[in-house]
Amino acid sequence: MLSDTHPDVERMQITILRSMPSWRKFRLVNDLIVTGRKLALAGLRERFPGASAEELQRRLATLLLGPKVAQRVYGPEPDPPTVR
Amino acid sequence: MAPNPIPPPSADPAEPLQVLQRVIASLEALGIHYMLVGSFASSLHGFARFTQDADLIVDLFPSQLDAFAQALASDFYVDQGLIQQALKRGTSFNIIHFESSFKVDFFIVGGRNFSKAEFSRRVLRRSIRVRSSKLTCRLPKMPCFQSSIGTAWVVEFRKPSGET
Repeated sequence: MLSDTHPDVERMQITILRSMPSWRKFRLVNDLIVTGRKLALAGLRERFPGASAEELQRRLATLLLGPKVAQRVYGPEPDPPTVR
Repeated sequence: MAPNPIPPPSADPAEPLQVLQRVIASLEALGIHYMLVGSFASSLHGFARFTQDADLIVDLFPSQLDAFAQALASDFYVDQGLIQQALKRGTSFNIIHFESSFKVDFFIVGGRNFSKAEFSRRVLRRSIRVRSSKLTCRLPKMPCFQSSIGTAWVVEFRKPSGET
């Protein structure tokens, strides 16, 4: 499934994951999402150094949902646009 | 239900599991049958995939639409027009959690991608504990989410014996 992982290692990884209790597997997915969002926010902070926390969250919404949907939900985003 | 008031996304938003909990609690309260699929469900099989949303299959009837939208509209962007279309066409719709921008996708059972037969094969997988959880529900077949915070029963596809 993963092109950069040896099949034996991948099998072991799946075995380990399967042996986890359900709550931990769910928590893993949750944390993957949260970590991904934190990384995206860090990137936005670098691109827009003067932006407030609220503005960064608004821009993150654009990254996550796409400009059209984010505008429908939250209204227009500040200039310059997050996604060109 | 659109347009909604627009609470801005929060700098300290609820986490995806909490958002999912909130949605499942509403489905349970309204008696709408659902099945959790996608990355959250596949994680139970040992495939932890990165995702940006949660996927649910729902057996939602037009008569339940108002109550469904009302139950979620304070915290989510819910467009009733789009849901009506999805119900008519048997397709999908999404809602978006204002505070976290987390998206939950709903697929209508009996639509293009998910047949009633598949839905009827959903099984109770096991309980999961999420924050402040209390195990209070022990139904044998139906997915269950007892109270707004609590223990979710996760359902998944399971092929009938003999099917490959």
